Amino acid sequence: MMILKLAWKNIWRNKRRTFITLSAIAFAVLFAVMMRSMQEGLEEQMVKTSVENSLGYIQVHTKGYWDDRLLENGMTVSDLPIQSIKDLDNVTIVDSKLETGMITNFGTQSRGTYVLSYDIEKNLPKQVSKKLVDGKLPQNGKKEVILGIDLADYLDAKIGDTLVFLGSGYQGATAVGLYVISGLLDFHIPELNRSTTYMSLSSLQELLGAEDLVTSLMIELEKPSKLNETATNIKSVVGSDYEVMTWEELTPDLKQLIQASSAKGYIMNFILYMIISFVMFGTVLMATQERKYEMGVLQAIGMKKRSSMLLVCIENIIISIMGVILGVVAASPIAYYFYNHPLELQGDSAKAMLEMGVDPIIPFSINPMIAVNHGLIVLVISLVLVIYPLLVIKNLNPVSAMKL
Amino acid sequence: MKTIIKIAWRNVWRNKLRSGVVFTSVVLGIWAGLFVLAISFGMLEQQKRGMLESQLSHIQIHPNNYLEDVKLNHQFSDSQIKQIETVLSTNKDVVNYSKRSISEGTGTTAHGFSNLKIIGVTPEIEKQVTSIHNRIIKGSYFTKYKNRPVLIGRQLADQLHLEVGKTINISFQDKDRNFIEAGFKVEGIFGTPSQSFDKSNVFIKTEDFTNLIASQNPYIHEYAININASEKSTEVSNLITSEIKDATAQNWAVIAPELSFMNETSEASLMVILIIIVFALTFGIVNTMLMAILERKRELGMMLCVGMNKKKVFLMIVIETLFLALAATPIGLLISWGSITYFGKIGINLDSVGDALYKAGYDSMVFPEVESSAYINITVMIIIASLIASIIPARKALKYNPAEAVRAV
Repeated sequence: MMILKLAWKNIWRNKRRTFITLSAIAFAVLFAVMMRSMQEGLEEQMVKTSVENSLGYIQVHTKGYWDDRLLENGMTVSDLPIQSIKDLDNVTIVDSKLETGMITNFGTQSRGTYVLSYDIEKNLPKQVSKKLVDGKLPQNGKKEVILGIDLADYLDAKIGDTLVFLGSGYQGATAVGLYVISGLLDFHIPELNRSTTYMSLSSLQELLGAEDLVTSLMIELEKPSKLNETATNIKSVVGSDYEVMTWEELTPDLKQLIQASSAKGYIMNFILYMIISFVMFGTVLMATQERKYEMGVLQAIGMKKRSSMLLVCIENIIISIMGVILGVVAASPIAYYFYNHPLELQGDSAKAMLEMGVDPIIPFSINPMIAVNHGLIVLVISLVLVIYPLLVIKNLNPVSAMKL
Repeated sequence: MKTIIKIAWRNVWRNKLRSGVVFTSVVLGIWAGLFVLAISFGMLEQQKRGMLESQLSHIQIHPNNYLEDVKLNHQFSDSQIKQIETVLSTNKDVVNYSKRSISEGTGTTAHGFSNLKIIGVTPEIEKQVTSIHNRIIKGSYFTKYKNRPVLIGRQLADQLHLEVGKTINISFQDKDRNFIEAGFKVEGIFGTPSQSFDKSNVFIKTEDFTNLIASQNPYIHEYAININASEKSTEVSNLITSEIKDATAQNWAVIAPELSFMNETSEASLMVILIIIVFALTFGIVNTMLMAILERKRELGMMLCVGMNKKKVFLMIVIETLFLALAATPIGLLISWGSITYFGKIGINLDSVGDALYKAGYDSMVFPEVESSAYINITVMIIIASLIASIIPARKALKYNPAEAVRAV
């Protein structure tokens, strides 16, 4: 008990030393959290861009649809427990969706396109209205489509032109229809711009001769971090006739892209931690040197080595914990600031990111787990470093330590 | 001044532990900065080289009307072909070249469809120019099937559930704009470093291409040219453009601007990482020196007492740090150079995420490499950082009251 008290007093006795050690730990946490926030922010952004553009966080289809995307593997809307899914925790939007591949033709030019349904009343999926660069969204009840700008370019078609759509409809019927272009979309992703067409769900169902048919339910989440939990809940609601897939299963590519960027991130983190550990070690080392005299005196007046080792240990634990907390507290507002005001890229690099389908910004993540994880890592490092002063005390000769 | 330098020099050697910490900080900082740069740069360079070898080559020539509007009948005329081939065979920078027929079309199987760029090549010649034949994962390179073989990318194979020996229906328009559809047998599946390339490009034989578009003569839309030094690509492409009519030669940077942009994108996040590293390092030095000043309170107080003025004490501390930084720099550079060269040769294996890296357009082995100018930049950056780092503790030392400081223990 006395040692605890002594440790507490020691911490406040030499405020400057305490402050320096404290700040070393706090800054270590700050640097690690900043770096990881940036890396995770970029990853989250990749997911968000891709998920918002085409996928939704979770999709429900008839079992087998994802492997064999045929209209015959579609679902009947009235059979689906849409309302029960909507009532689930964390689910914000349930959007029913019909999509199929068709050939579109204008004049002498033809091209394959993915035709997707668009919910005019609910204005879903949301990104469609956001990516509209010219013209307007399709009107209810009219035979209108909006399509990617590169696709329109290839067809030499512009707003107001009538396109022929041609393909196989539901259960082998031939589907042919004429639709007027009402607007153009720019997704900033060349692949989508080249191949995507949107029309209203009812128009598409009519074209394919498939009333009441959808191919998937797209589900948006309030908290993307609770992805798997929500997916399990949905599974129990829809039963075993349907497959419930998260974006990680829907686009393994994206998952892998993120893993790849993490792989690079780990190397960077490893290097940063080498520096951080060394900075912390340097500080502990100098602090120990400075206290040799004091430790010598303590031992000379009869304090056991074990007690003074315990003393240093306790002091270090208190300072480490305070430092980590301070670091987390300092990092949070900075990460929060860059989350709201992401670093914006300019010029050519911005263009390159747009090409890859990512907004040209470097956002920061505010995932609280980053601060917790890296706070703990720094805490562990700083506790491991206590070994050094302990060794010094163990080998300390009071007489020589007190000589200046 | 001479005395101060002398004292500073002795101080460096007197407390070897403290000097060691600052010294190591600087070494570590230089190494970390350079190594991080080398890994990023190495990954990008590899990706670029992969793209150039497997698809782009150094220079491509297209007809001007094809560049404006990608259409089947915007091909090279016979006189253009003659002219281009004369120019290419007389230019001594040109190593080899291949000509390609290109059409936009669609590939269909029972499992879906995909928009494709259909490239007609002459296998024996294409083999010399691009490295697709080295990147065949399954199957072979135009040796097995006589009747309409096709090479497809790994991504496309996954998407359309295709395997070697299976059939893909490819449709496009012929020269009279009639729709044609033909079954092609998958002979090989290739994997280049680029996911999007693997998804949308297929290779067929020029003769099949010509037959399908109902033509007697091949339609040529593209010349892909390798030259002996990629730095000369701008110069050579300009020269070729000036010598031919109604066609333009472009180097890879013009054809695939994303390759050069990519450098800048990753540079932005790299800058943030470098800044964090330099900050961490500066902070480490500040901390160590601050602690050192604390520990040396008595010594510094003594110096002030025996008549050394504050300016000189300040100077002494700065010079001490400078000594350490200057001594550490060559060691840091040597270690960096050594480790980058070593790993540049044997590579860092990221196999556990290898597939992920491939999908993202990288190879699974990373070979760090760095431009020589980076050595200078990083070194200057670290030395400046450590100098700034020495000023803060030195200023602190000025605030000591000599009478009190001598009595400090």
